[in-house]
Amino acid sequence: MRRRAADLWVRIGGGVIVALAVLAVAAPSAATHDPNAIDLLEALQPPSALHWLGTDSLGRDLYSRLVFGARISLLVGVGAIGVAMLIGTALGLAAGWYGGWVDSALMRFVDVMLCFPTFFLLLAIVALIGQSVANIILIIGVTGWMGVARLVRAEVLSLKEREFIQAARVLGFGAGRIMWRHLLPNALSPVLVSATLGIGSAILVESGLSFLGLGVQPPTPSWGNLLIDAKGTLGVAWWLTLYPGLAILCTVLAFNLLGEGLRERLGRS
Amino acid sequence: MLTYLIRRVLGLIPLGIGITLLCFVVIHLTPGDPAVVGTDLNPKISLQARQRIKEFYGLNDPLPVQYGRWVARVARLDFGRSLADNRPVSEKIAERIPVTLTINVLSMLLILLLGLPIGIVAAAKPHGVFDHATTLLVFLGFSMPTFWLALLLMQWLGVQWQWLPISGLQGLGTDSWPWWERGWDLARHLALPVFVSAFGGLAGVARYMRSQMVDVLQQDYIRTARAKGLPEPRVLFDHALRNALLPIITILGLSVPGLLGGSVIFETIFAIPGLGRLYYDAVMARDLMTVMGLLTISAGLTLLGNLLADLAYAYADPRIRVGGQGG
Amino acid sequence: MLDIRNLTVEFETAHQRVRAVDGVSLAIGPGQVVGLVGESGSGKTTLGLAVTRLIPEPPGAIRSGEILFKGRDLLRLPQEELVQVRGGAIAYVFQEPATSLNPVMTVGRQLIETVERHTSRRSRAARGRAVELLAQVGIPAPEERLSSYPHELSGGMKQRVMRS
Repeated sequence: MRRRAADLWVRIGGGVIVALAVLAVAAPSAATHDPNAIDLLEALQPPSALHWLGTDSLGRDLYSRLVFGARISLLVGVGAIGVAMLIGTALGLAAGWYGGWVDSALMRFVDVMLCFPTFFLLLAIVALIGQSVANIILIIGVTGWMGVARLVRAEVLSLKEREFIQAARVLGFGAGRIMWRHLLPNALSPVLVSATLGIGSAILVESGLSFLGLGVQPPTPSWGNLLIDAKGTLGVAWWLTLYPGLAILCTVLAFNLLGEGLRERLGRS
Repeated sequence: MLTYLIRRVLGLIPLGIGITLLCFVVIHLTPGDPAVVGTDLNPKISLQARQRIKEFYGLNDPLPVQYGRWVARVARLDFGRSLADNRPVSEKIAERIPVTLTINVLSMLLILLLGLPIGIVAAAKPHGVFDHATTLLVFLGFSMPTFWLALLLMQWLGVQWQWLPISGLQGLGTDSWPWWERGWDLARHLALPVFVSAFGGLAGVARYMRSQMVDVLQQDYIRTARAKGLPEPRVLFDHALRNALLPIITILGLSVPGLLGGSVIFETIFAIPGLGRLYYDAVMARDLMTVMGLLTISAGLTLLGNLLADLAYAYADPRIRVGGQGG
Repeated sequence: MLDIRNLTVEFETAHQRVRAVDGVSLAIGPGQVVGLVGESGSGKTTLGLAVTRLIPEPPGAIRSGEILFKGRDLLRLPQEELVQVRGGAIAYVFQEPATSLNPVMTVGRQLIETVERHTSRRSRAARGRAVELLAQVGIPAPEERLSSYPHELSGGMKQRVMRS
């Protein structure tokens, strides 16, 4: 019974994400207007047949900006998690495999990193190295690898004692080879779950940063910075607040559903 | 118990070193002269300010010396003077701490008051209607962008229906009011920020409490309690709850960085003069002195929170408090 | 005194439904001592637990049968009366003392609450009774032991506490 619920989550979550990805990739075709086209005569119009979700204070079509914003969200989400996975997996493998002082040092490092509020770190680094999309992907990744590292380390520690690893060592396989061909594939499931949930989290972080003006900069539309406009027109243009936020909510929800569903399904086998 | 305490405090030292080291690295993050960065990114930093940064961090000295002086300063809570208004950073931080502290404590209380009962009831009938509703709530809580929630609440409750104020800590012209009316005014101003701040944590605690209770309820000693003929409410609240609540203490301690980070967003939206807002303003103005000071302090607060939580846990769990002979 | 008729208990696992007890009938008269013998996994514990409906209801379920105790069917008894029977007229001594005691409560408290539940004694009288019980099963210095926690006791002592 639990399994069927998990399958449902995977399908709903996965479905939404795939649809979103298609939309994002096909953005130029899916959008109805040029997302940056300013038309002051049409400013602050509620949803209509012409502008499906209304327009913002500069007359730009909200729907089109949302569609292009999807690109940013997915790009940053997946990119940042990619970076986090790389760093976290590498460090986790090293810590688990080599043990000893390497492990202690790395885990201390993780502890130290976790002492800082993520947002504080993010803001500080963004202020120091600038706001490009690439930077943001990097920074979110660099501040989010700690969970993966611990996870991978735990997996390695438990796998290390199993016979097939012992066998590999006895046969003289080098550490690198063992890690790559034996340890990683077994550690894959929890990492995958973590990555999926992490993408949702990264999207939330990026949108928060953009909302504060320290993420993706206008005029490039990001769901987060679309809400800056909403704040300025609070009470006047409800559509500007509702739709971008809804987009974020539904997307992150989809990733969370997918991740939790995967966790149920993969964890059982 | 005492040895535990001592060990824990000693364990903080390497963490403290790590924190100051990391902050130190962050200052030197940018290629080239960190003082120059200020001017490149923001012409607000004058030559004079550059000079001050250089002096404070001793950027002309060899690295180890710089680090040593930095640590000595941190120990005295001296973070230099803000580049924005030349006031001592520690002073600016100190005047904001009460506000942020109040909101965060209230947040934690709200999280516990709502989250714990929800988790308990959900665990009492697993897979029941309430449990499923709780799962839904938890997912929403984890997927919700808090700033959007804030905006929505501001729009409905603040602007449209005008039930609650949406900015600042007190209304205009309320200085002359009697203290109880001002207290109520303050409470109304705090309502939205505290709620927004608590939202995500609420979902987390509810979920965690539920899974803890479900685990505990499967334990043998619960079976014993039932077998002894104790009525079900007694089993739940007396026996099960004591065990399930223990890890919550740790969770609370771990939530400090999350709450601090979250405060950046809602303090900015609701115009609350707290630490988060200070940090945001400092970042926007490239006031590096304040930024570094806050970064260090926030990490310090996290350590403190963890320590307190650990101590509370050690006290609450008789297995640690009283130690055992076992055997 | 205790008459089990045609009892069937099943468990739902992730893969299938398992029948742990299949149509068992058993009668115990007053003063009788009955021992159940079987290989591990044969359902002895399940049978015993089922008597006072201590089987966790999701995954488990009592499918059929009657359990007559002093003329009343325990399976149909309302909850308030069932909890009276448990621990009073019908008591259990569990196999694993290490996990059968609540680790965050003193031993004394766990004993006293049972005494208070099933006798009319309260606070000091109950406490006194608890000390008696501990002494009966041979635990030294029973007064002090009341305020100990389970993890402070040895395995053997825990077992003795369970029995009392």
